[in-house]
Amino acid sequence: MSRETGALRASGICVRLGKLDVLKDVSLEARKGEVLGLIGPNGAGKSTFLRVMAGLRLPDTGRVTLDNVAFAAISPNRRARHIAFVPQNGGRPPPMSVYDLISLGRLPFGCDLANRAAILRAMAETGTEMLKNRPASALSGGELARVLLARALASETPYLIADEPIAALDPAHALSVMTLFRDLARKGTGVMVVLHDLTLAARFCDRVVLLDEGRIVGCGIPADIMTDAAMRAVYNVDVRRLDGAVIPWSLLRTDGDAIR
Amino acid sequence: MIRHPDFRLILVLSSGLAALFVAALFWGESSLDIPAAFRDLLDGRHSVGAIILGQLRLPRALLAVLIGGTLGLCGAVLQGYLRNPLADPALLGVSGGAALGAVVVFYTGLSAGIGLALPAGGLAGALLAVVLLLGLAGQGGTMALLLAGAALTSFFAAMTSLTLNLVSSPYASFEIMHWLMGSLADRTMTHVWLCLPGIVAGCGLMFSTARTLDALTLGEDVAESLGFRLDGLFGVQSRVVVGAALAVGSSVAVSGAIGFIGLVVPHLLRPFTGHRPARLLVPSFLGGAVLLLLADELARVIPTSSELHVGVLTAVGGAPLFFWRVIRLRRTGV
Repeated sequence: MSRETGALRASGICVRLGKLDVLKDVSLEARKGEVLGLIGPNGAGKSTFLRVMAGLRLPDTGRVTLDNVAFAAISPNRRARHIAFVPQNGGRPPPMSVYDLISLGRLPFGCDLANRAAILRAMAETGTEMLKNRPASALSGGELARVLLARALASETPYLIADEPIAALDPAHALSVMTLFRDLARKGTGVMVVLHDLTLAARFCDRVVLLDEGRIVGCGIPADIMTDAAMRAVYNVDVRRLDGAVIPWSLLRTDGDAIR
Repeated sequence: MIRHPDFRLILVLSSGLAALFVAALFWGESSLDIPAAFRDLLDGRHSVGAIILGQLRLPRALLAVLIGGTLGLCGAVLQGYLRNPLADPALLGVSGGAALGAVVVFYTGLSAGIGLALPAGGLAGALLAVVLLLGLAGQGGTMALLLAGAALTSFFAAMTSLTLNLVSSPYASFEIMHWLMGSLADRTMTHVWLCLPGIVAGCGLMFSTARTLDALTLGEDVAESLGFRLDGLFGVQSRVVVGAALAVGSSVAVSGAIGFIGLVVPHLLRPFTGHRPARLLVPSFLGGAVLLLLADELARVIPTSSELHVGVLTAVGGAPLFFWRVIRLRRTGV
């Protein structure tokens, strides 16, 4: 299935929440085989856009298509077999075992003999085999983040959409998750992920999309998009660079001078 | 062949249920030759044994299974859907609606004239509550559902108190009080037929939500991303609300309010089902049936000056289980 699925494309997406325009005419294509990073300040509309791309929210105008078919014409089950979604910190998990929790990722597939193998692969990829029989409610933040990711991987969908999946992780686990995303992309999965860590975004994303106030202000390879000027304009920070890493260094005053 | 993970639990509960059912038929004030009575019943002979078995004990036992099962299942479904272990069937206000409907029948004196006026009134009250609940909660999600249920519960309770207050004959208010306590005494096969359609349809709808409830354990976004519809006519909220309301409304209309089964049974069984809501449904139905059948048999045989109401017994027995839950929560954190 994964080989045949075409692009996931959003065109002209507008979303209003009350009087606020959260997304203003956003168009973007997620491609299979690449890690696409969504960056931008808090409130830029990243999470809303991710939910629109995952089919969890209907845009007020514009549409999302999978393989040139609009979401409206795709059954929720078919969509679930193509796009897996990991929400931002999901709250307190139920006390079911880690294996059972990961197996929820197979729900769209009904009773399938391939289920068990897919669950085991997802556990191996995320290094969660050791946690198999532990109750999910007794995991540490980092363990839980990996288990929730394994739940999504178990669906083995052509597209994986994740909202800040490394926010709760220490540097080693954050690196291992980003490496996993890159490996998945090399095997053909389209990974779309919201990130706040600019260094990891610059290092692991094939393309980044810079969102600000509901608009795309830049889209392309990290080096082209994450320029000093763009970072200053969007995040209001000065950055320093070290071996390709982008390090937020100091806040800007509103008149443009850095605060030390 | 893949063996169901809860095979043993379901086997234990079904065997217990079968044993209690047989006991309910054999056990009672008058000792009967049950095999003979059973033969008479099948052959259509109106012997004393056949009448006691077919018109007293059988409907009573059947109602205990149907109503106990409904309450247990409904508790499990609501606790899963709302992701709140304190949810119980009375939460939706449908029991309150059924109680008000029955009380109004008492008040107007219809119950004295027509035998089935009482459950019919209860059913009408329950259906009114369902319509109000759907109108109020709409597609507003779990919070709107909880608020609408709380509003309806307090409204129906106020109306029931008002009716009790206005009723002139002390005999009628005594009858109302007794009905509100919940009982399965003196019910006939007509009562069974009256509540059966609502219970079958309601339980069917509730069982159909099993996989969605599993998906909902990780939140609404994950459930929706796994391809489950939450809103809309065939979404999980409609199925939970309509299913629970139909089944519980039909049950309460016939038995009066029977508390604690819907709250306690899922709690007792959850640790045996791996905390997966879908796996809890069938055991909760069986467990509710077992508990109500057991309580009703106790109500029949415990010698008291007036026969114990099974609703009182489940409340008296159910409340201490919650004391135990609090103590366990504070000790182990689960």
